[in-house]
Amino acid sequence: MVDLLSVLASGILVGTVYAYMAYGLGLIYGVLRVVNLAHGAFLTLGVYVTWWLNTTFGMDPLVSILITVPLGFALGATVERTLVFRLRDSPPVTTLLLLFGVWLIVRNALYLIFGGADRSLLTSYSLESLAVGPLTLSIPRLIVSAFSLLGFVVLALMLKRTWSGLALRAVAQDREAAALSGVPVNRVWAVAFGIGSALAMSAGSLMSLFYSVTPEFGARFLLKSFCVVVLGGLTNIGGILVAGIGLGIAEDLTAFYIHTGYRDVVSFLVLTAALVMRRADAD
Amino acid sequence: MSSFTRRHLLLGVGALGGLALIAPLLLANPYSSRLAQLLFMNILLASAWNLVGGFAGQISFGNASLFGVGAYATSMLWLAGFHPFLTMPVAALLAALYGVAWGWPCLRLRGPYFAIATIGVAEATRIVANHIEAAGGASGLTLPLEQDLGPVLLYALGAVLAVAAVLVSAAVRRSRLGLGLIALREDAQAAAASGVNVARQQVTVFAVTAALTGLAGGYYAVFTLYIVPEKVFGFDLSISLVLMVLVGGIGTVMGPVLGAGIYLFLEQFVLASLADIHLAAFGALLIFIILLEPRGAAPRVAQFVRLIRRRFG
Repeated sequence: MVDLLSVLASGILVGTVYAYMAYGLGLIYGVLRVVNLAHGAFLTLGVYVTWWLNTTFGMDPLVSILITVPLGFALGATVERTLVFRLRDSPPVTTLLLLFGVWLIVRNALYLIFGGADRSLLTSYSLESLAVGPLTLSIPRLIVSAFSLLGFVVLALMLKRTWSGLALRAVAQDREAAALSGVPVNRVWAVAFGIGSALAMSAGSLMSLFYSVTPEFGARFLLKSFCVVVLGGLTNIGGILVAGIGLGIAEDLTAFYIHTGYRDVVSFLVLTAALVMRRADAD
Repeated sequence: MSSFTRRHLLLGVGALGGLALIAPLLLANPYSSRLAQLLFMNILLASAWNLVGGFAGQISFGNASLFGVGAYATSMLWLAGFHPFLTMPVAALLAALYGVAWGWPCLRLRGPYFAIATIGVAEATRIVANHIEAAGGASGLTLPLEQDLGPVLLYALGAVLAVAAVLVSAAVRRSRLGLGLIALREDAQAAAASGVNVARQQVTVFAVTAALTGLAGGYYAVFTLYIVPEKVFGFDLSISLVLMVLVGGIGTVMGPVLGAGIYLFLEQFVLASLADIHLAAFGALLIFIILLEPRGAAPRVAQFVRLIRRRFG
């Protein structure tokens, strides 16, 4: 029973990070109708930047979010302005392939800069844990989970309360109507891509607290992000949170009761099943 | 298939004759015969991918799962004592069955949704293959080196498979089935409204894609004599197919053939000298094609051929 409870607890903690990591993908799809295959590149880049800041300047991963957010925004907006923008009237599969090209370039750059070895960082609280009744919860996971939830609240407020948030939602709902009402659609696209990438990079900062990283890091988590976004319903914040937690729990149950090696199989199968069941008919 | 005309048959026989004529040139040393084997395999893979990816516009990132099934079927049967040639039909059949098993649900999806679903299937397959101890697990299978078919037989097998794949591709292109797929690519709703059985046609053609991809896997096992899940089920393999077809010209019969050759040339001669940046080079190539030459090399080559004809014909 205690086993089951601790598996559930760890699943919930990891799941909130999954949800935070995935949200950028959903936002970009919602506003631009573009599948950002470079999402994994931004995640990986976030982990590496955080690792570098930590090992070079001793900066705490949580503080480095202040750097990964603006950096992610700038990089994402640049990719949108220079590449994605040119394909805005092409079928969605072409942008998907284009962004895959971006991912390959980033992966290669990371190999050249950091090499292929596993990198991980250690903070003063990395190995701490908290006893709650019969359960032992890892402190980094608690912190990361709390930050992810905080990120969700900030994002929800931004989308609901600010003018930019309104513009984003307007374009997501109906691009032409938004343009006719004077929303600068081009700028909104760049902003959406920027925010999506900033979310991915800052998720990388959070994940650096309990994952080691290689340049191949992004692939697994890109697929998990897809899984969460498809299950949760693209831009639905609440749905994505529930889907993230659901995936976290399902993975931990599989790893505990079946085989650790099959942890990732769950997300891939759930992803495919979710897609097929939704029968999302793309344009 | 009624659309398989006599002209196709003649062209096929001609191509095989041509390949037989240049065989001594390509079999001159182990390296050149390996290049020929890889070229045949690439043609097979790219033509197979193009049936659904090009004609129906359904981009699959998961064909490695079919390639791997073929490679394992051939290897395990060979190790069990069957002649490699006899294992080929089994490789094709098993890959086709696996292809239908996941293609049937996934092909209801369109565009990016289908593409993502195929990544999920292929990655799940790869992880499971790594854990099947009966098939060698992560360390793979080594095939009996002493039973190597030898360069001449391998060349002949590859040539027949590659030419057959191109002929199948030409036949599908001209058949009702192929026209249905193209209609589907251009406008799914209009196609369905004009009586194209969208779901069934895609699954049928995907079964052909899967069988050919499985054959390529079997052929790969027979000429490399060593397979590991990370390679035969790997994502890189799936991506290379997409690149080949895009480079050559998506949705045409000769595009994949052209692309298979260009890809092999790039891989062997250009990237070998740029080992450090080969991922970035592929990425840049992909971006370049999509932004500047989305139709690939095939239309340019056709243009060039017409020009030559006009001048000298």
